Amino acid sequence: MRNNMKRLILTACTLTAIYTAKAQDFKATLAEAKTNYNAGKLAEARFSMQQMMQQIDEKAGQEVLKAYPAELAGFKASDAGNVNGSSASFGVNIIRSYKIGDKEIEIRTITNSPLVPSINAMLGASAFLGGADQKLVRISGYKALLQKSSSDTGYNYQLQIPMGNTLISLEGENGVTDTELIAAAQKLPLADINNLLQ
Amino acid sequence: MKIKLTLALVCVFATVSGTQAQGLLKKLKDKAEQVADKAIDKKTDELLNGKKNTSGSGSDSQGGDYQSGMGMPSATDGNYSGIRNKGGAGLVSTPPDVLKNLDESEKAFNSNTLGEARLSLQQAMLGVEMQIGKDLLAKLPNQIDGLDSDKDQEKVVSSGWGWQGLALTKVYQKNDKALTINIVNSNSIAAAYNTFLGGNAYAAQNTPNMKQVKVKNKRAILEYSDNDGYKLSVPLGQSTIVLVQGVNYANEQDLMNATNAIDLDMIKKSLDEK
Repeated sequence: MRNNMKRLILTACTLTAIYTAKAQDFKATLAEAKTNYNAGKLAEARFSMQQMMQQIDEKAGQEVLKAYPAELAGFKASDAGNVNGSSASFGVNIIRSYKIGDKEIEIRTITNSPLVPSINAMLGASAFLGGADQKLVRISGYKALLQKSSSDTGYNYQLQIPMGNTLISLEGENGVTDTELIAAAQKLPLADINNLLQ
Repeated sequence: MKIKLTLALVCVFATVSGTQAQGLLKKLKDKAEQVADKAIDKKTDELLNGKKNTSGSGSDSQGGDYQSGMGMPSATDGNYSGIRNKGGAGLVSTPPDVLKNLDESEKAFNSNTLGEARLSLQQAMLGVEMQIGKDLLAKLPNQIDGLDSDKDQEKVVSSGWGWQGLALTKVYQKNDKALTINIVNSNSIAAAYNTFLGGNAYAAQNTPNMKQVKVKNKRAILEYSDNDGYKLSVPLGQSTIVLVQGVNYANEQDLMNATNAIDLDMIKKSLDEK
């Protein structure tokens, strides 16, 4: 318990330090963008704005990680998670893993990517393709697609939750059952995540 | 498994192989054709209906929604029995205020409403890109190869997203001869062309209607089809492609001569390419 508290305080301090640094980066880049724009250096101003977009995405990603619970239906967070990519390129990826023993659930949130709308469209079409390996479910009111695939050790399950320009994907490994995966997904604050990323 | 495979395929698409670059080439060609087709349709409608279309067009932006140059469907495609739109005020075509949107983005960032911060920043980027586009179009020649530029067909399209980037169109025309210049500033599309030109896939192909050429010491791809005429694709730097399409040009040398009238170094400088 004491170790968990220490870990929590350390995480909170680290995140606060990161946020302060990022806010200063954003302010500095914004000033650069304005200076370049006022000087008529439009291409440089545009580049500064692309950097600002990346900084917003980084901050949004960190806020999403903050919103993830430390525990999902018994699965405990095994790392602090990480944020990479940018909506100025191929989108933002937010990744975090949860574990019970050897069982692991990886949650990957992809947002502001040009590829997500087409993936979400395919997911929508998948629901109509049917098949024993796919099932439409509801997670906190959002439609989601549960998929089953064979592996050497049995079945693996994947859950995709499309939300506008964001796709949340949960993948179970080492024997995570469909029931466990759905129970974990139900604990995610989807509405909060959706608000942060729209 | 299917989704894993799909995501893996999508990642491969993102890194771009020589084979996939061809698919992107075709997409880009199709988009260029859509731009030209829409311009021709608009002109035909004006001639048939005897009035000018007053909706926002030309080099101004209608804000983040103005993407007709990138092939978005038109609201006038629908058919209503006995009813036809006879006119309207059109859309306000003022580019977004860059400095105002930057201030709004800052306020939203500081108050942690990141969706609003992103939206305001996109509007600011849109404003800057529209200005870059307008300036660049103005710097292109008014006449190439005896063909006059048609200001009504000039287009600047920006998504404000960065990855989709900026696209400009300038059309030169006289009688049945036309030259269209499309300038696309997009990381992903440029990467596809550069990979295609740099990779071995091209050298191994036997494609009679496509070949590699040089334009002012820059590597380029020249294509020809009886339906579309000549198309020249010139990658510039890391993120820009210049596409030159010649309709009813007698031979490839004529198109190359026309292309030599375009100041590619000026385009590179305007778009901050090295």
